[in-house]
Amino acid sequence: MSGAVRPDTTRAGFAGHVPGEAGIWLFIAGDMVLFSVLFAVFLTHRAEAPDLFGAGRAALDPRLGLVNTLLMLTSSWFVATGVAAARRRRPRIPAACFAAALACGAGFAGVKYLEYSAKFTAGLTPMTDDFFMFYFVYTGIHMIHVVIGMGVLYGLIAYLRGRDIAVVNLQHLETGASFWHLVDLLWIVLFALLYLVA
Amino acid sequence: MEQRTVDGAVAKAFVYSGVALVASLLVSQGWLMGFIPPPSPALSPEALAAIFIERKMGIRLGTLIQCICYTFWLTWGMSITFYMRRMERGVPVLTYASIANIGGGYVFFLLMPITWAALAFRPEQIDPAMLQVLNDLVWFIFILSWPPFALFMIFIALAIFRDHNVPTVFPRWVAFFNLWCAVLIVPAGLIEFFKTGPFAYDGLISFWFIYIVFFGWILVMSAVTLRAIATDRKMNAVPSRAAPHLTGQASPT
Repeated sequence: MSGAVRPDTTRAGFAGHVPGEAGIWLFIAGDMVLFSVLFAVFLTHRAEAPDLFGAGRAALDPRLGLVNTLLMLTSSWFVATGVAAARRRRPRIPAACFAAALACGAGFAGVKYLEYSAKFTAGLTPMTDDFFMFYFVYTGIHMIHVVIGMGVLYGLIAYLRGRDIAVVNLQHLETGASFWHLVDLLWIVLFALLYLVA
Repeated sequence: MEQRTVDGAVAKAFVYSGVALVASLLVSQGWLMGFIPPPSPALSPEALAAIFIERKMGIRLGTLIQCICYTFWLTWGMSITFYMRRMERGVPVLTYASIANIGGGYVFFLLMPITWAALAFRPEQIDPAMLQVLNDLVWFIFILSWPPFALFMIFIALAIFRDHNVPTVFPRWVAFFNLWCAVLIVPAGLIEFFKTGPFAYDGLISFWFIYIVFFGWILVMSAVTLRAIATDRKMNAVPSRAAPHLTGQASPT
């Protein structure tokens, strides 16, 4: 495992290229282990009480979930566009794209706030039943990822500020972007699992 | 650089003290006390009191071993801090913060066996309801004290990211590994809310997963630090043999 960060900046170098540095993939794989365990636990409990979980799913608002899914997908598109623009040495576009993705993340948090407060008003809390325990815990753990991811995006914007794109280390951008895509991916699985799958 | 040389023999002993900590956990909490996994938080006070009365000798022995071996959190943590010092330039902020953090950390570690030992001292005479609360307290000290430990992981990651050495003292994947562990132990906070299920303090996530991550982290960091010590010895051996007049020794050991 090489310690140095390799600035892989040539376009030709992207054939068979692993984005970001190797370590972030260890993190991503590790985080997916956690979520795989969480999903398996959820499915095991659901198999034991299908009616309770069915009623819980029916109490969720799929429109809010869908809005959040669209926000996540849009943010990922912005991040990918930003990285692509950085590779082509386009100035200003990467930072603008990351800022737009950051705004999507803030929108996601806003929708989550509306969703949680509606549940609390309806008297649904993590203590209500097993379904809502999983719902709040899993979306809460994911929300922590969103907040960390927004910090990462802000870090990328700060990193780009005052630097010419030619000297920016693309690998750093890819590492941060890969984390944001993980946040997006986890939400899509959560959305399917909690809101959709009957 | 000479003044930043780490005494490899001491560092190695410090690393192995962490391995002893993990081993003592299995022996004491697992075998002697039978608390892996913990008694369910949903257990009645009387049933819990019966466990303490029945296992009081095992608990006394186990907590004695824990008092000794959990102190090794301090020595083990410092073995990493030696190397963090070398990663940092200027005022070693992360090193200072880590030293303070480790000093607080072993207080949490020692509070667990001390509280348990007090419960096993005269379990027949304690009101079961009170025994239950104090036993809850031990698990809360154990699991709910995750934030300073997560912070230490983040300090390690930051030090590695900012390491100016070539090659870096620890490989860079270690930084990501530490961040991952810091995120993974977050669900520990959930034990406050649930008495049954995967997020209770005897649950699959809040107990098994967190335990495996945390004590696995100690073992992985031990292996990484041992490798840094070995690299150190190789690097130090070469120049001193080439220029024995600088060290005043003919054959360095």
